[in-house]
Amino acid sequence: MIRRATAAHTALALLLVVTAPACRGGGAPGAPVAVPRVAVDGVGGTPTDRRIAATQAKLDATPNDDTARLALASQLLQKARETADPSLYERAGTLLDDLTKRRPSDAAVLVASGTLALARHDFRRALNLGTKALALAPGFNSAYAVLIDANNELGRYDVAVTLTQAMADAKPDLAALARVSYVRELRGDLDGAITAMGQAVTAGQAPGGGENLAYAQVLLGQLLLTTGRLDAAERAFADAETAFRGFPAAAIGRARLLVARGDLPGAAGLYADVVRRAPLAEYVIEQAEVARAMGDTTGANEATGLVNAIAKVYRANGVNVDLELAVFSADEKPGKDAVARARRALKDRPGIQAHDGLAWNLFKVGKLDEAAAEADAALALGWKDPRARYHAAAIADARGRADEARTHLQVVLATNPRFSASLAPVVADLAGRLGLDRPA
Amino acid sequence: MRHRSWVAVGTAAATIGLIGAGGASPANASSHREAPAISADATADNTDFYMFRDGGNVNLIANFAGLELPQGGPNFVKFGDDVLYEIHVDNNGDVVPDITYQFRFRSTVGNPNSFLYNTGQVTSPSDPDLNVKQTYSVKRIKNGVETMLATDVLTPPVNVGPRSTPNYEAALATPAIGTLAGGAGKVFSGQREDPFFADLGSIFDLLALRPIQSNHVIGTPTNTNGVDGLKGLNVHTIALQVPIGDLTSDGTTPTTVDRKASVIGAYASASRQRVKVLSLDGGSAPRNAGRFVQVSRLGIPLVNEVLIPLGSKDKWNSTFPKDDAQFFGPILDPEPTRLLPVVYPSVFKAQGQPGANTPGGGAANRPDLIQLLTGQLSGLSAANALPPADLLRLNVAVAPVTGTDANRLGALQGDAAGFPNGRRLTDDVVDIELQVLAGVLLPGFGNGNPANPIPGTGVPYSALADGVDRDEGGASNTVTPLVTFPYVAPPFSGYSGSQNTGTP
Repeated sequence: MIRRATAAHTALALLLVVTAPACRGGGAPGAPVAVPRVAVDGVGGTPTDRRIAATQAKLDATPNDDTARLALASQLLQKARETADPSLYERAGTLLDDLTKRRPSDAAVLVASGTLALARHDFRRALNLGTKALALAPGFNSAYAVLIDANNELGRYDVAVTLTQAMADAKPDLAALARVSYVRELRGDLDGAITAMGQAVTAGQAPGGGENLAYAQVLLGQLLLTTGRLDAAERAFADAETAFRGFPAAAIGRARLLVARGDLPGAAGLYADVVRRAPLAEYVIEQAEVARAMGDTTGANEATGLVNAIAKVYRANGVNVDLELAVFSADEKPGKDAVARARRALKDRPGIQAHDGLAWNLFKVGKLDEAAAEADAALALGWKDPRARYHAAAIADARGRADEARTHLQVVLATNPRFSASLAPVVADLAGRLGLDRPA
Repeated sequence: MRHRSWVAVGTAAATIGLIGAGGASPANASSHREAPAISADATADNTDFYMFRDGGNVNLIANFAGLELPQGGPNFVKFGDDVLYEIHVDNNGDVVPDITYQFRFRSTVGNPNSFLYNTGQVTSPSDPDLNVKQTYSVKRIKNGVETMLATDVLTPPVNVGPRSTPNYEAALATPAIGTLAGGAGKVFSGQREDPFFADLGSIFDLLALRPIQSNHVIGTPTNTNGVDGLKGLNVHTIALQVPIGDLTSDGTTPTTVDRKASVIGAYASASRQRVKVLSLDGGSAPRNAGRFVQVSRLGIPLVNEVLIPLGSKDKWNSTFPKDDAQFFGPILDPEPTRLLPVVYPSVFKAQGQPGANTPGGGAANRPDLIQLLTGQLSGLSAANALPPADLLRLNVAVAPVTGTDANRLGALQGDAAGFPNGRRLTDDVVDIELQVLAGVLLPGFGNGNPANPIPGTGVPYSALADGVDRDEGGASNTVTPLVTFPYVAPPFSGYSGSQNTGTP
C-alpha cells in the first residue's frame, strides 16, 4: 500500500513539474518569439530527445531559422506522444502560433498546428487546419492524417472513410494503413482491422524501430487481444517493446493482457510502473479498476484521486478531457454534473464514444430510455468495443429486454469478456442471469 | 488519452522528414528517409539508383532501406513481400517506360517459433539453418509483353557475423547471383555495403561544408575534412545486368553518340498494393485489392531529397516522370542555390545584390538544368534533346570508363562516362551537384570549368565540396566496388558492425 502511495505521489509530482509555465517570448515586436527550451538528454536520450537537442543547438546559432523552428515544434509534439507530458503542447504551440503568423500558407506548418490541435482535442480547429493544408499541398499524406483524425473524432465517419480511402490510394503506408484499420474497427470488422494493422506494421519497418512503429504494433496487439488471440497479442506487445524501449503503451498492452488472463497482481505491478512514468488518466482509471477487483480500496481511491488531479492538469494545459472522463465519472460519481459533462462531451465530439459515455451516465441516473437511444447511437456503425457492448447489454437488461441484452453481451463474450478487471465478474454474473455461458 | 492520436504516425514523420534549408537530423538526409510518409517505410524507400556500362552490358542498381545498421538483429532488414520493386527504362525518348523489370519477393520462415534468424552456421543460400529465407522472381514487361525472366532466385542471408555467415561473399553472395532466361543477363538481390557517400551531417546542417566551413555565416574557425555519414552502413540492393541491345529501342548497340536512340532514361520505384478501406458486401475487408500505388521513386540523385519541397514529396513519389513538368518550378529554382548567399555571404551574392554571382531561378536562367533534364549532359546536342524529366540518362554509345577516385567528378572533369551520363558507384554526385547548382556549367558563371573562380572572388567552383570523395568504410578504410557484377561491395557484418571496423 505504501509503495503504491509513493507511486501515485511520484506521478503527481511529475505532472506538477511539467506544468511549470513554458517560457514565452519577449523580444521586439514583429520579431519571432523566443524559442522555448526543453531539457533533454541529447546523448543518452531517446532518438526524439537527440533530435530535439540537435535542433535546439541549431536554433542557438540561428534562432530565426523557421524550418528548424517547425522541426522543433514537431519534435516536441512527438515527445509529448512518447511521454504524455502535456506541458510540451504549450511550448510547441508558442512556436507554431508564431510560425503561422509569418507563414500562413505553409502546408507543413498547418499540419503541425493541426497535430497540436488534435492533441489538445480541439478537433474543429484541426479540421480547418487540415483542410487548408490539403488544399495547399494536394496529396500531402500528413495533411490527410490530420483531417481524417479530426473527422473521426467529430463523428463524421462517412467523410473519414472517403478521406482514408484517398490517403491509402495516394500512399498505402503505415500512417494510412493504421487509419484503414481504425475505420474497419469502428465498424466491427475486427479481422479486417487486424489485417490492415498488420500491413501497417509491415510498411512501418524502419531501422531502429521508433515510436510510430511501436504504436502500430500496440494497436495490433490490442485488436488481437479483443479477438481473444492472447498469445499473438503478447507477441505484438513484445515487438512494440523491441521497437521502442520502455514504451508505456506497450506495457499497458501487457497489463491488459494479464487482466484478460486473470493475473491481477501482475497487472497491478505493470500499471504502477507505467503510471509512474506516463500518468495518463486512461491508464490510472484501469489501475483503479484492478485495485478495486483485488479488494484494495485504498489503492483504488488513491488512483481515482489521481485521475481527478490529472484531469485538472490537462484542463490547465488546454486539453478538453470531458469525453475521456465520461464513463469514469459515471462509475465514480454519477449524477447531474456527470451527465452534464457527458452531454457537453457529445456536443464537442459527436462520435460514437461520446454516445457511449452519455448512455452510461444516463443509465447511472436511471434515465433508461434516453440511455438506450444513446447506446443505439454508439453501436450504429457496428462497433464491437466490449465495454460499449457491455453498457448496451446492461441498459437493455435494466429495461427488461433480455433478448437485446443477450445479443450485446454475446459480442462481449465473443471478444474480450475480461476487458475490465472490476467489471469481469459483473459481466460473468449478467451472462449467467441471461442464460448465457459464463466466461471462464 | 483515449482519442487515437495517430496523426503522430503522420507527423512524427513530418518531424523526421523535414529537410531543406534548415534541415533536421542526419537521419533524414539525402535519399535516406526523405518523404514524411516514406520515412516510416524503409523497405519501400528507394535511396539510390545507379546505371553504368561495362563491356557490352548495362548495369542497373537500385538500393532500398538505407542507413541499415549491420548489427540489426534479430529482425534483420529484408525486402518487402508486399512491395513491388521496379526498374523502368524509356528507350524512345517519350519519357514513358518501354521496358519495366519487376521484382517480387517471398519470405519463408523455417521455424516460426524461433526468434533466431539462423539456427546454425549458414554455408549456402539454401542452407536449412537459415530460418528466414527470401526468394524472388524477375519479370520483364517490354512494350506490353510480359516475360518471366527468373523465378525462385535465392537471396543471400544478411551478413550476420563470422560464426553464422562465414566466407560470406564466396559461399553466400556469389552463389546467389541469378541468371535471366535466355542466359544473357544477371540479377542479384541482397544486403550490400551502401555505396553512397556524403557528409550528410554537414550538408543538412545549413550546408556547412567542412572544408570551407570557416567561411560559413555561422563560422567554425578551422576547416576540416568531411565525414562520410554512411560510413559502416549497409543497404538492400537489387542489381540487374543486361546486354545493351536488350534495352535499346531497335535492339542494336549504338555507336553514334549524338543520336536520340543512343540515350536511355531510367528510374527505379517501389509500390504497395492498393487497399480497399471497406468491403462492398459488408463482410470483412480483403487484404489487398487492385493496382499497385507507387510510394517511392528515384532517377537523378538528390532531386527528390533536395529540390522537391516537403509538402510535395508524397505527390512527387506517387507520380511518373512524364508528369514532372508540374515540379519544374522548384527544380529550376533550386533551394540550395538560394541558400548559398545566405550561408556563405562572403563568397556568394544573390541576384539583386551588388556583385550578384549566383544564378537566378527559372528556365531562362537555368539552361544547364534543362540540359540535365533533357539528356544534353549525356552527349546529345540541343537538336536531339529529349523531353525534360527526372530520369537518369545513359548514353550507351559512350564507351565505359571504370569509376575511380580520380574521375569521381565525371563529366565535370571531362569524363563523359560518368554522372550525369549515367551514374557509377564512385561518382561524387554531391560535389558535382553542388557545383552545378552554384552555376559551374553556366556561361558567365563557371563556364563549364570547376577551376574557374566564382565571379568576383578568388574561390574556384571546385571548392564547393563536402570533403567526402569516396566511400568510407569503417574507422580506418575505404570501400572499393567489386570489379564484376554485382559491383556493389559486400555488406559489413553484424558482428563487426558495432565496432565499425569496416571489415566485411
